Amino acid sequence: MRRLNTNIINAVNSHENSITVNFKFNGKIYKGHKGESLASALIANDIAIVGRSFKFSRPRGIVGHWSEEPNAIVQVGSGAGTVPNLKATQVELYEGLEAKSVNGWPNVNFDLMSISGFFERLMPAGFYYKTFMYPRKFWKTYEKYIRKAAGLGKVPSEPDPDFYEKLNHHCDILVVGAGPSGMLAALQAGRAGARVIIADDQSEIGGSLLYSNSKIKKMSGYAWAKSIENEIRSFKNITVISRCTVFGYYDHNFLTMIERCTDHQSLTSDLGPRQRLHRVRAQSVILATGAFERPLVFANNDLPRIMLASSVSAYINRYAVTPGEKLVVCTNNDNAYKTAFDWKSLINDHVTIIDTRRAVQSEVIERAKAMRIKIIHGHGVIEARGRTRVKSVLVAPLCMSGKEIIGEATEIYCDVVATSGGWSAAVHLSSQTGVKPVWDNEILSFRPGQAVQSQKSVGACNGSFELKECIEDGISVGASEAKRLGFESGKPKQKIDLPETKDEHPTQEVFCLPHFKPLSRAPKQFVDQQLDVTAGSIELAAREGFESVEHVKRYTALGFGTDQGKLSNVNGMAILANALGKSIAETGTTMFRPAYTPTTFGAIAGREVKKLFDPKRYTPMHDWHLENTVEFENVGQWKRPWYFPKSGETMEQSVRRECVAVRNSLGILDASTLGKIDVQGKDAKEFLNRVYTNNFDTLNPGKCRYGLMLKEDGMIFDDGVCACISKDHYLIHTTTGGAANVLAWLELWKQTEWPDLDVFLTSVTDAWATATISGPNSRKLIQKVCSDIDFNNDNFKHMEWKQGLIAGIEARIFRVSFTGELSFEINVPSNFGLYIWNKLIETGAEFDITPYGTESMHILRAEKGFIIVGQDTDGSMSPMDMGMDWIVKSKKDYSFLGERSLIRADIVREDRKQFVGLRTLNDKQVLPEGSQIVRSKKQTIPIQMEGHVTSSYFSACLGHPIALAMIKNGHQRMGEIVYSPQSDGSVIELRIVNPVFYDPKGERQYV
Amino acid sequence: MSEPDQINSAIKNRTQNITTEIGNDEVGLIVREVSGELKINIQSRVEARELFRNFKGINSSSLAKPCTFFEYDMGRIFLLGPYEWLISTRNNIDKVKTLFGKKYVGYFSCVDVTDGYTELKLSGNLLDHTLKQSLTYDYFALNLEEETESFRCIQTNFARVPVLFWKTSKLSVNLLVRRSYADYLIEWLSILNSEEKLVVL
Repeated sequence: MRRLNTNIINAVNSHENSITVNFKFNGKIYKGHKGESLASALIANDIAIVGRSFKFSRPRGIVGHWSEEPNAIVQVGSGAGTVPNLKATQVELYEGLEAKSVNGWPNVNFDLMSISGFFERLMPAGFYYKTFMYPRKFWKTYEKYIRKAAGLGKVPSEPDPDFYEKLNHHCDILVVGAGPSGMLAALQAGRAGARVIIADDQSEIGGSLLYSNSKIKKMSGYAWAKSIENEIRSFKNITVISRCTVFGYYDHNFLTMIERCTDHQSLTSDLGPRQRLHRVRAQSVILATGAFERPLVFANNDLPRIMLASSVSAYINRYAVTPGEKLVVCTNNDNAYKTAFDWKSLINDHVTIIDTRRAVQSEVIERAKAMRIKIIHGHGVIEARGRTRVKSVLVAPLCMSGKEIIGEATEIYCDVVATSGGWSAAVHLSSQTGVKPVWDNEILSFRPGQAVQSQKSVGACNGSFELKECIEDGISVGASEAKRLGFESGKPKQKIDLPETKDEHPTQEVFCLPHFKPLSRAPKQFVDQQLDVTAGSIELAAREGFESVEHVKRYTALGFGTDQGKLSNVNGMAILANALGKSIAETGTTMFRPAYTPTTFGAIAGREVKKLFDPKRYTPMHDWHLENTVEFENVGQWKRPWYFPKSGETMEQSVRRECVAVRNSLGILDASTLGKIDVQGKDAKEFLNRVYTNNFDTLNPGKCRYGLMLKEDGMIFDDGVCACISKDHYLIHTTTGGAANVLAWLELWKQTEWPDLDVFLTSVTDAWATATISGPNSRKLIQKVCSDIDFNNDNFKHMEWKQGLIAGIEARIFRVSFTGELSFEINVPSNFGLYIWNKLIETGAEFDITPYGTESMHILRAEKGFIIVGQDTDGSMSPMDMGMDWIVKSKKDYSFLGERSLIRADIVREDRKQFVGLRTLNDKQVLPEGSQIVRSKKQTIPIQMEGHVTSSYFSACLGHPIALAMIKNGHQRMGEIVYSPQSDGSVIELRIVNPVFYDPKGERQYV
Repeated sequence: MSEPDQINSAIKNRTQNITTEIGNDEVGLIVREVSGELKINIQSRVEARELFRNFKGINSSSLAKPCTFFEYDMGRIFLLGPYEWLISTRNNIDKVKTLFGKKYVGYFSCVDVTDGYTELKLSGNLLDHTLKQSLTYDYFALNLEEETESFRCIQTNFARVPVLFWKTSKLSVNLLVRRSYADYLIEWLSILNSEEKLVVL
């Protein structure tokens, strides 16, 4: 075990290290401490290899300690709850955790794919673009194997057993990151009274102070952070969300954050939502996302146990584990000296600092000397050696610029290398808003450009890498942002202790250390370890003519991995700039897009899955349908009864029974979903004349009229029956799916084109329940439940409506028919819908009343040749195409919508598709809907299409199949034989016929 | 068979007093269906102050204030749009119509939409969490304690369903939802609460 005696730890063991848990990694059981990271536990158990590289299958170890980690990618859990592509550095340990490496076969220690390393030179940048082009037809074969080799981890094939949720937030200020600057910004804004949310992706807030040995006055950095946290949590107007990563920053200060609620307990724990997606709309955003330490690039720098210097400190100070015994610190800056100090003071083991800079007087050097740490100035690590982990490093003297070797190399034996090439500000989120990062030569990092939204960057992510600067920055920006938003001046109510300023020797501009051999010949110098992008491949890309940083990124895959190039981008840009002979500022950087870290689909879906996938609408009679074994059809969001199967019945049998019942006796349909729009006002009639093709001047109270609406292009938009309720008062019926669109369309015209009309539209779809009774016995039934209306044919004619009491309930009864049979549509206030339905079912029993659904309704209307807008039309049919010239009345005082388009040349041309009926010559063949129609069955390809089938059914009442279709010039082709080729190679022979198959004179509905 | 006056609820599995409770007072959400008041949609281009002149107890200056509702002697009036209001009243529709007077007949519409809507009252300690899950609107802005004459309401989406939403006290809100969506909304709230197991501190 490489776990330190915690008694000698100087600071911050805040994890629950007293609880020992068992976990499994790559099939073996180990022990760790609850709450520490999986990476920490693996280091404690002296596991160096955690994965294999993507392209060359080289052994890889842990590099970082948080989201910047490129190598330690693991699959956690098993079965349905397994999650691929988690970073071991971010996985918190719990009892029973199971993790495995995502690549390496048969295992990560011995990977057969590592033979690809022998062919490294055959796999330069863009090799797949160059290699797999020939022979062309082999691509399908290549692709199969490339796909098999690609990808990290496996997604579960079973449904996700966990649930997720989304929360919406609004706040005055969102602070992203709870390091020193973020905490102070939140505190100051909160003190001023602003509504503040502060989110941090770690389990504790404090940022770098969680593992730093910094002192603030006489307190440890950790203790100081805890005191600030306590004050933050005392404010009700500050919400602290930990384990929460802000991964997307969009327009209008809308940000998305993912909170890991139970991942640290168990993937299948029954403790609530596994993850929560927070959707935050903030008036102002303060980004305090910190910075990532940049590794130096040198030969074989990917060997396990070559780590970031700050990460070595983090594992020692926060988790009390040590990755080895002999440390070499390889740096170009002062900051990495802290790691040497931590190592020396806590482990008291061998440590050597290799500094590329010449010796100067500085505090850290003096301290190192005082601690008897060996420092080699003006040298660099040019190559690491070892097979499965680092064993030694080659150190060579460098010139002043650090770009050339000026002497012999010496070998230093070690088992850990801590590397530091400076710091790169985490500009990802500001970049997501479209802000181009700008290079700052003073700090050797990109920093955010001018913000385009109400947003500020503070602390390290703004290029302030010194602790004191970060804290001052946070205090200042938190207060000023609160003040800008109208809250009281954010002066601190109590003094905040600040650390002392330290003189630092500047970081040297060195990114890639030289080697005796040129880049292309030297051992690989990895820039992006996750995707095996080397310094040589970037240089090669430049030689091949790729000059734009965006092109080089795509050609080499630099920064393409799940770590979004957090460690590699700046080094990559620097190497490219060098190859192009430009400065980094001239070369520029790539932009970042969401998601900052990988995000689960489950969290994005939230609760909108399974039952709650889409809102559902139910009619007042829904409960009755459920009790009577209905099958539902989704019509828009409505649940409409589709058919009512009796025990053992197939859908076909059920529908045939329902259709025959309506034709022979009595059926009942729940038609509550039909759109209903109340139209009132002194100009209501004029309004109807303008939106319908036919004339409403003659529609008097008590009468109904079928109407057709067109769009401006003359194409059918919707249809339905309009009833005149009283003078200046009408009720429009629309299709179920078209109700909302029709109302919006009418409002659009009313409000924008005809604001002078006094007409008012109110949706009353939900206010009325509708039961349609249809069939020869429908009059007998309605007479039994309604005594105050004379239903005699002379008194209550087809296309009339009357008001009366149905079973004691005030009702509107419309005598209209969509089946061709005698029918009554009974409308009652929705609260009485179920009551009336039950009453009709009970009373209709003596006529064997049969509930029927939408499928039977479709067949019954198709037998009559009635169209369904949206099924028989598709937005490209005019009234004339549908044989409905009779409903177009051009002699109105005011034109109607779409009228002008009806005389366009394209609409009056003769070969337009027209609405017809089809009969199969073989009475046993039912045409599939959507089938194409052709003129001859012996046509050669390309076959000329004559039309298509819009509706097709077997008519039980007629005893043969029927179909409706749109066929070119169909109205003139009655009796002609046409053909419909099918996907199975067969051809169905058809005759074009009149679309009215049943009761062509329409006598049954008038009885 | 049930009598007509007993099936006056849009929510399934209703109890006799049409109260559906999910969870409990301490940790949970309480949903109640509110009934008994007529809902009447009013539209007119007549100036609001003139149109509502016979309504007692209202401050006519508030009639055109967006996203507000105010009370009058027989109920509440919600402003839905520049020319549209919703009256929630204990009066019947004929009495309401007479308040507008014969002068404006033909210049306004008055439609009883009572049966087209379900009014739900939400309260309990999970309310805040529920609203955050269901509502994209900043309901914090509805907490206008300083307002004395009119209160805030908003037409927005709740669990992706269009609603009229207003705050009735610090710990309760009311929703007016299309009746056809009411069961879905209850299903949403039930699943939310049954899985939550939250302890609100």
